[in-house]
Amino acid sequence: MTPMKGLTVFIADLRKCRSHEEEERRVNKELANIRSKFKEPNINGYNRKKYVCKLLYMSLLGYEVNFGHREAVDLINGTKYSEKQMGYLAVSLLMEEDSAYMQTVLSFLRRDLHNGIEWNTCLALSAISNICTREMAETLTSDIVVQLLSPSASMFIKKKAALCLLRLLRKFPESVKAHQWAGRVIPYLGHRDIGVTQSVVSLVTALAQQFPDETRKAASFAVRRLKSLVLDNEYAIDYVYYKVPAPWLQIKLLRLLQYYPAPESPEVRAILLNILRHIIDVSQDTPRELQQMNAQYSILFEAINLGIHLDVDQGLMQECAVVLGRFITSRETNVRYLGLETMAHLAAYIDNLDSIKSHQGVIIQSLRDRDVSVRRRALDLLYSMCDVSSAKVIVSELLRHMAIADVTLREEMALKVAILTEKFATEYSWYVDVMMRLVSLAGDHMGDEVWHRIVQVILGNEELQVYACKISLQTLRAPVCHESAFKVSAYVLGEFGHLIANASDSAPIDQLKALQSKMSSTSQAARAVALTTVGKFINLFPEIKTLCLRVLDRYRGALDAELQQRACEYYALGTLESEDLLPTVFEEMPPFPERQSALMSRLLKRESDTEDQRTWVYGGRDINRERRGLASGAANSKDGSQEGPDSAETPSTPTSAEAEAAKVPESSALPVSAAADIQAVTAKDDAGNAQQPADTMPIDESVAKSRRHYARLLWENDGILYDGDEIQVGIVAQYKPPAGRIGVFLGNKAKAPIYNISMQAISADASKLAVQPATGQESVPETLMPLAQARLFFDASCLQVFTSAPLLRITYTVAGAPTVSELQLPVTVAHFMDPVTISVSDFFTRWKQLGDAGIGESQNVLKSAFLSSDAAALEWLRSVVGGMGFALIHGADPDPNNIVGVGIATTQAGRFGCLLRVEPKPSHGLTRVTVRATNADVAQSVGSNIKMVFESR
Amino acid sequence: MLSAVFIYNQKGEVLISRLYRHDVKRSVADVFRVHVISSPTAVVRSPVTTLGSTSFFHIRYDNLWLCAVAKNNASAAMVFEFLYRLLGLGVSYFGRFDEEAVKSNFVLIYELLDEILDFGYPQNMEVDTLKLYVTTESVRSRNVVESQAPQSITMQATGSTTWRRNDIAYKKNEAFVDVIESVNLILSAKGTVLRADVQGQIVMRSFLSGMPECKFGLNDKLVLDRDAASNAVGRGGNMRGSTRSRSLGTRAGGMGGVGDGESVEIADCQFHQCVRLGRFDTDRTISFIPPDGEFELMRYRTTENVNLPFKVLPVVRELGKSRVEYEVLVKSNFSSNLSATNMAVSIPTPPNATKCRIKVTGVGKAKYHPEENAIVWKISRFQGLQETSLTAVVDLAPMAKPTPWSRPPISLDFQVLMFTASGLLVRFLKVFERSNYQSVKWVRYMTKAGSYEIRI
Repeated sequence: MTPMKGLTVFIADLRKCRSHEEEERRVNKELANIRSKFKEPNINGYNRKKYVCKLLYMSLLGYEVNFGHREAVDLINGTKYSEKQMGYLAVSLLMEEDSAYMQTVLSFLRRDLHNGIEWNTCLALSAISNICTREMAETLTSDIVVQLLSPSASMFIKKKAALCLLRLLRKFPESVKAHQWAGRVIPYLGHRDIGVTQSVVSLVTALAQQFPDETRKAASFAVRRLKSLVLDNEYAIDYVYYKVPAPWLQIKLLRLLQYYPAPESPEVRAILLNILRHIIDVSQDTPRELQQMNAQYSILFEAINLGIHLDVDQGLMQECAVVLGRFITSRETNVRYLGLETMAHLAAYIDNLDSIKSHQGVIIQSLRDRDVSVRRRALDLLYSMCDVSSAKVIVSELLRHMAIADVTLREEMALKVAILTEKFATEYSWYVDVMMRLVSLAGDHMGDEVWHRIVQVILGNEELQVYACKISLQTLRAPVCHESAFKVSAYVLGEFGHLIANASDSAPIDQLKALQSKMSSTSQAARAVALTTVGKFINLFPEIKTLCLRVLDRYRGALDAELQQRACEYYALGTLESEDLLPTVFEEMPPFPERQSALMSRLLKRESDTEDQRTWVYGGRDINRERRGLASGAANSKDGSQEGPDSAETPSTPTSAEAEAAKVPESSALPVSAAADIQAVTAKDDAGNAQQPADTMPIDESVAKSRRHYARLLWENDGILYDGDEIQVGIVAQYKPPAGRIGVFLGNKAKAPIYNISMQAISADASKLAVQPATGQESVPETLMPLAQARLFFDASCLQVFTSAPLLRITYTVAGAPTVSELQLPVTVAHFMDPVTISVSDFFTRWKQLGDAGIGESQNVLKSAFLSSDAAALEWLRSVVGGMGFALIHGADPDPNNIVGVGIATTQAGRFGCLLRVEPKPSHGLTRVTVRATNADVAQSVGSNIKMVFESR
Repeated sequence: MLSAVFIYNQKGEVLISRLYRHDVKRSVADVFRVHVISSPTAVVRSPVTTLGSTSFFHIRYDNLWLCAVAKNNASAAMVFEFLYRLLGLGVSYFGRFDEEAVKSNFVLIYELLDEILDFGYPQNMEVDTLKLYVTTESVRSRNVVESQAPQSITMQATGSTTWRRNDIAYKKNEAFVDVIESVNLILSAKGTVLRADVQGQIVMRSFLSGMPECKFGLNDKLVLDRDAASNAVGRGGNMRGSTRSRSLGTRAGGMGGVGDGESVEIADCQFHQCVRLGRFDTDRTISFIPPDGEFELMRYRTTENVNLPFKVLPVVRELGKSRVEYEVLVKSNFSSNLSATNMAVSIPTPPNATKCRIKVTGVGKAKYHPEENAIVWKISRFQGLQETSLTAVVDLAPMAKPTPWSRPPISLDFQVLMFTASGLLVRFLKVFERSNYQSVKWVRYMTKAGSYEIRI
């Protein structure tokens, strides 16, 4: 470019300015000068260019330039290269996307694209990439594609066009209509010019992530191209970089292949395998030059990643492991880093971990590496390669490193140790030991999740509890006790202290003393936990009640509101006259429901997604499998929803049902065929009456049999709900009014596998009863082999009193025939019943009150020939009443044969008392059942349940 | 208290660096330079910058940066008072206080810094006292030390009048009083006064022998009202009668802007340390023993009845997007035997102005200054009760993104001698000395523009 004197002088002037104010004055002056110059007619091209340059310079310095845009556009229209170039530069820097001149610019761009002069087209392509407005993407994409595909365009233009398309695609993926031209671009992967191919590969890689179907052919082109590069040595000598042919292209191709599934045809597979083997063979010898080494290694790492992705034969992978083993001992930090990273990828997929385990020593050494990022990768690798056999060694090594590890690394390390220990624990004592050590070592660096998780695990496993208690007591007695360890110990002793109370040295008084000795030196939060433990001790060990009360008494005046409140309330509970409240409050905690470990979610949260979709996560094979399954499931459901509108063309299709089915979260992978078939079956269902359980039973099942199953589940919590030829459905329910968890077990009784399973619970009125799949559980497998069983838990919560039971809809395909079964779930309001004990005299007072009030009563006289006077039958009757959640009041009724019970139906909206009186008259073969409740629907529900139980006996 | 004092030039080079405490290192000078002086981001900078636990207090003067560093929670007001005193010291020692003066007098500046701060606590900063023993000329320095017994310096520095020696003698006893006022005004486009106040300053130069006791009288409304009340009962005559000075009232009577007998409400009085505040608080008399030479006797502020020296009637019309027309009329509003000097009217133009056609009817010359985005109209001398006008047409360049013009206000700069915008008058200045000598007193008034803005 010819130098412009005015510009140089101006820049020199600005540089000379000593203060910002001075500079601003100079800029203002120059702006005024340019304004007046632009006002003049007939300004020549050179001057226009010079002034636009000055404006650009000022704009780059941060001053607002609010004019001169027209002049910039005029420059584009110029004939000289330098003017045009400056014009495009100014437009891309000064103008905003909504500028009024954009239309003009757009037409100039199109003109220049088709101008035929190479540099004009190139300038236009660069300008489009730089400015890149939505309008350009919408209107110019086709012109750019034409340039890319045109046989007359030079290589240079093709390269630029491909990169320009890539930019437009990244910024406005929806505006470029890539599906229309994606397929036509792909053959250029085989273009003889490596530069063009390289640009196109970048474009195709971006396309592959969004349009895997349209670009499916790309895989074979990429393989062919790789073959010509690697095996056939077809390349221009210009593209050899330190003896490696076109390394960037190789890497990009290898990466591109990772976005597609493994090729199906055996020849292509063989070629690919050959390529990989060749790459691995070539890198056996270490090159001397650094650049060659970099190029070669980066190809190798990408090749290994591809190998892992394709899941090629084990031999090759073992070879990879050997090569990687060499890398992780390399003196180059970068090589070590990449080696560890790739090995972690390998460990995440490979079946046989032995080849990696042989390097275990080296990897553990790497935890001490100088470089922190290498240390991190080593930790990831150890986490990924851990299995049952190596868990003990790895965990103990990690624990040993915890003390000396980086502070930044410690939290992750602690999380990983906790997860590994839980996953691979074979002995209970080992788990407890490791976790207590972990908590003591790294307590400061981890969140509460870790110690919460320990407590959850201990609570869930009875076998663990005694040992955990012993260890807890030891921990408390140790001279130093970490706060988290203190919390765990306090909690465990509070729950299970009685299990070791008989052993010498761990009498209740000793436990309390141990707790007290550490209590004063801990934080408020830990003390709060300890206070609860003391409260529990009052309940567990009445013999040390006075001592416990003394401890609580001391904290009644604590400054901290939380401590004070706890102490006061527990003290009041302990000194209460009546004895019944204390045991209720401090009842043993039920085991925690199984759900996804908080540790796992925390760890996964730490790894954020990037733009480039990574195909794997750290961790063992199972977690990656799960991920892959999830991804494909998601893809399937996407397909399903895309197909949706098409099938909706037929008027009879109940789209809402289909949408509903697609919503089932556990089995989001509802295949298209099944979705289409639902209509047929639902039409069948519509004929039946959903109110009566017998009517909603599958047609092919005898009504009486399933009625009996159903009736049994009205008073028992687990049993079989449905037993058909193909499937069997079992129920395991657990109620904690007003919530409940219902496990549905689906067994395959057919000889053939069942496909496309989905289970869904539908509440008749969601505002009264909410039923949804429990969170954090594994999804139902799509395919069930013969004699295999799948399970799904549902969380039910009773919001209000409800009258109709929820339905369970199971869809599946067996032997090619899609089937839908709808079963009534044994969930009635009577299931949300808590037993309540009241005194004998109270019962009839309440009974009369309810009778007088007349809110809800249900009376049935039932035939009960089976109830002879024998004791066994009466016992059965009692267990039925008890099983339905009533507390039996003995001796309340003058007739000893009569049974009276009291329960409270609990919903989120309120609690409803319910009294029950069963008067069997064996002599007449009749039984009178009377239910009185504070809610009519509750009474009806209980009454009809008992009736059904009697009838189906 | 203060841990260090630095003086930088405009580029941020350290000219003077004096550390008083060990809690900072010399390298904090660089910290201030990096974060404040050469910081590219902040153009309007706060005078206090706190970085970590260290606070930097700075003022700018000429091409210098004066910076005080404090580690602990120092009183910012005190630190700035110190910095301005330091500035005053520099000005009075070297005449000009700029980079060159600092460079050529750095030894003296270090000497001064040693004297005025002890372990970071400010000490005697009185110019006159300091000039006694921190002298510029080495010869006189020897004389002073030899001739004056050191204890007399100590006596003075620790006595009741630290600001004055007791052995001053002049042949001709004179006192000069300068009343300098700056007028601040914001006028809305419709001509209503949004804000008008006067910041006044009374500067005195005294060349009086011995230890003179001075009394100073203004037309302070409170004093005059009280006098009127006491006159009514017939006890006030002797105060006026006993004046031995020349009647200042008659001199003031010749001034155009200020009428006799009018009284002024004075607010926010600040006095030089020599003024006896107790007396002022009880009966609002200003009595003092003046320091020798020039000093600022008091500062004040008035907000009521401000006499605006100029009226500006602007008409600005934006004709479409390509032209703006101006008609600006300026009238002087003081007696015709006074005149304003160095007057400049700055009329802002839109930022996309290209060409200005200006015509002045009356006095002065106007020119478009693109670097300030304004037409600057300069009038070297402007008589009282006169008017002049300007018309201008400004062509605008088209804007790429049309943004409305913010229409900044017209601002005026001027000086008017023998005129006080507040109407303040010096009624008398009495000097009592044991030897009862005659003294001559002179009064001068000047009003200048503070921020005198008229919105358009």
